[in-house]
Amino acid sequence: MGYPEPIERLIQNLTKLPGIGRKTATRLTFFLLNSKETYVKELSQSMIDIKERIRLCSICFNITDVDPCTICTDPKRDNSPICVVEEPSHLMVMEQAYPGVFKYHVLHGVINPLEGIGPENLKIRELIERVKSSKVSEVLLATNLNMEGNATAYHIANELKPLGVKVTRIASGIPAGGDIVYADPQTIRSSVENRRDIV
Amino acid sequence: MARVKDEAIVLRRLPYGESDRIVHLFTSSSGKISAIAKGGAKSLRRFMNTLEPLRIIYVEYFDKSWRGLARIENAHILEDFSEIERDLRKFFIASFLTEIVDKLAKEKEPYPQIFDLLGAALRRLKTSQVSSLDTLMLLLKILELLGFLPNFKTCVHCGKTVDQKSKTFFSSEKGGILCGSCRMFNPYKTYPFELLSSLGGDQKTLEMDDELVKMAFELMDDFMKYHLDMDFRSYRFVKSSHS
Ligand SMILES: [Zn+2]
Ligand SMILES: [Zn+2]
Repeated sequence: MGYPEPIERLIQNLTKLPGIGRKTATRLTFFLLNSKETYVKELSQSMIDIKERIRLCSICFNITDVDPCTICTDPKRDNSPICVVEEPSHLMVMEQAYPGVFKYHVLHGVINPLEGIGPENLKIRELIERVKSSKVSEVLLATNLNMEGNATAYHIANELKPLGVKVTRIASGIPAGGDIVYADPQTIRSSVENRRDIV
Repeated sequence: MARVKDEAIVLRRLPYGESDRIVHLFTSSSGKISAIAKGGAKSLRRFMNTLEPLRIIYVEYFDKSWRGLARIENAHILEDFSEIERDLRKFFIASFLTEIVDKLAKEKEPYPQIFDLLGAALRRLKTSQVSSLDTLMLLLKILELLGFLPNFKTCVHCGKTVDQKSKTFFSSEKGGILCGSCRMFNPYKTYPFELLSSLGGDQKTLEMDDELVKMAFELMDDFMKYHLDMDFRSYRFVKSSHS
């Protein structure tokens, strides 16, 4: 004899989650069965909320529950550079390092011909329009420093050039904690090109 | 198990976990191989920028030592073509040329001429402009060396030689031209004889105006889809970015 239908149904639904097998799903189901009702209600409501209330900001395309997002409407960032990132998670990384410093623009990917992703599949046109229609002090291109990230950054820089806005790229080089012996010549060269005065 | 030392063009990097990296290499002496650089964060950091496409590298590897993958023991950059990233059109062309070799070359079969040709193409893309006609010629040459060039010389149905001015019927499904009498038995499209006869001529001295080049790209698109049954994802970018 199986479990009563509601229990069986929750087990089935939980096994659809990544990394959850039937055994874990069963354990979670009985944990919820023995939990306080307020917790179970809060848990299910929070799951509904991410689907119903999260969308993309119409200015920067970060994920948000209010549109425009709180970063775009933050008056302290009015004259901030726009930092261009690949994904919302990359925005979080930048924001952790520089809290309150940048405005952002999330591309939702990078140009990747082998995956069939071209500039028109990303939020690039929206970025150009945004720079055209508002006063922007600087655009900082913070896509990854690999082939696709570089190609995307160069493409955006070429598109922005006629608009006369200052465009910069995050530096590449030997990482902090890195060992010179393990760096390839290109990395060494870019570390030297990006060198700075020390005293 | 012997350690192999070779030169290789990096065709593709695959996402694989956080500490390992899998790449497709087109080696000078053994052709295409799939290889893994196993982490140790130290060794991966060392290879990270080396095992990127748009590089010719020196590589030392153990053959088929880990789940059928060659294990990379050592690598460094011999030639770097990352300047190609600066120009979107060149980036698309380079991506497409490496994609065809990656998808059509047989594993572990040496193709020394393609190795040289692909290297030369990357060198040219790095330093100078490459026209759409140049790109078309590279595509035809690579397909020829891989043994996948469409037949522009004889009817693919009856085998008869078709004279220049009658070369107007091309069957993507059959992979070549048709003579007047065989076309009724096969699916085909009609093209100007100037196009099909120059595609069947000497590719080194291919001469075509922009209109014909555009048509040739469409024809090759059909051919690759229907005859090779291959979807080259980067091709649409090459097709649409003429110079
Ligand atoms: Zn926003
Ligand atoms: Zn025939």
